[in-house]
Amino acid sequence: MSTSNEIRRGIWTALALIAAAIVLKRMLAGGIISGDTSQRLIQMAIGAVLVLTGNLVPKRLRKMSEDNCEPSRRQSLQRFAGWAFVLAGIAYIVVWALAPVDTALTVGMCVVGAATLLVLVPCLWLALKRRSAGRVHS
Amino acid sequence: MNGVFKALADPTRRRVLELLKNGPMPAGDISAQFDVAKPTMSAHLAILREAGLVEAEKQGRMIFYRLKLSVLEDALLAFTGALGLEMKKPKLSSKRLRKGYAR
Repeated sequence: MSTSNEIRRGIWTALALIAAAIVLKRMLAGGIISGDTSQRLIQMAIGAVLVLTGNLVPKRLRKMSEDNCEPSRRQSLQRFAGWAFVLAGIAYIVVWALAPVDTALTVGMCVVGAATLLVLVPCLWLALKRRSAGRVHS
Repeated sequence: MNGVFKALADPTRRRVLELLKNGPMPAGDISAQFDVAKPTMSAHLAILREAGLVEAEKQGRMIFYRLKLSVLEDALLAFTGALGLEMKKPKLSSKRLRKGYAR
C-alpha cells in the first residue's frame, strides 16, 4: 500500500469517527439513545479502528535492502503485532457491547494495554539487542 | 478479494505461503521445495503476487519473495488449509496455467 493511500485511509477513518460522534451527540440530544449507549457505540467504533489498523500491520513492508532488522524477525514481529491488535480490538468491541460500563472501561483498557505491551516488549528487546551488538562491533 | 480466494484455493500456493512464514526466500529455493516445474512455480508465484499475498524484491541477481498477508488473509489461509479447500478444476499444465495468468 502506498503512503498516499495510507494517508487517505487515515483521513477517511478520522472523518468517519468524527461523523459518528456528531451523529451520536445529536441522537443523544434528541433523546433517541441514552448516554450509556452513546458511549458504548463510540468505544466499539474505536475497537473497530484498532481491528482495521491491526489487520494491515503485517502488510506494511520496508525494502529489505533498507531494513536494518533481520527480515524474518521483522516479519514475525509484524505478524504477531497484527494478530495482537486485531484480537485486542475484537475483545474491546465485545467487552463494550456486553459488559457493564464500569467493567468495560477497566477491562477494555487492560486488554488494549496488554496487547500494546506484548508488541512493545519484543520490539524494545530487539532494539536493545541490536544496540548492544553495535557497541561490541565498534 | 476474488484474487485472494483464487490464490488460496490451490494447495501448492498455500504451501508456498506457509513456507514463507519462516522468512523471505529466493525464488529458486522456493521452487526447490516443490516437485513442480520451474515455470509452473513462477506462475504460482505470479498469482500470489497479483493477489497481493507476497511481494517480490530483487536483491542482486536473485528475486526474494516474502509474505504480505493481512491478519484476515492469514486467518483465511489457516481456514482453507484446515478444511483442505481446493478448486474443483482439472489440474492445469504449466503452459495452460501461464496462459490463464496472462489473460
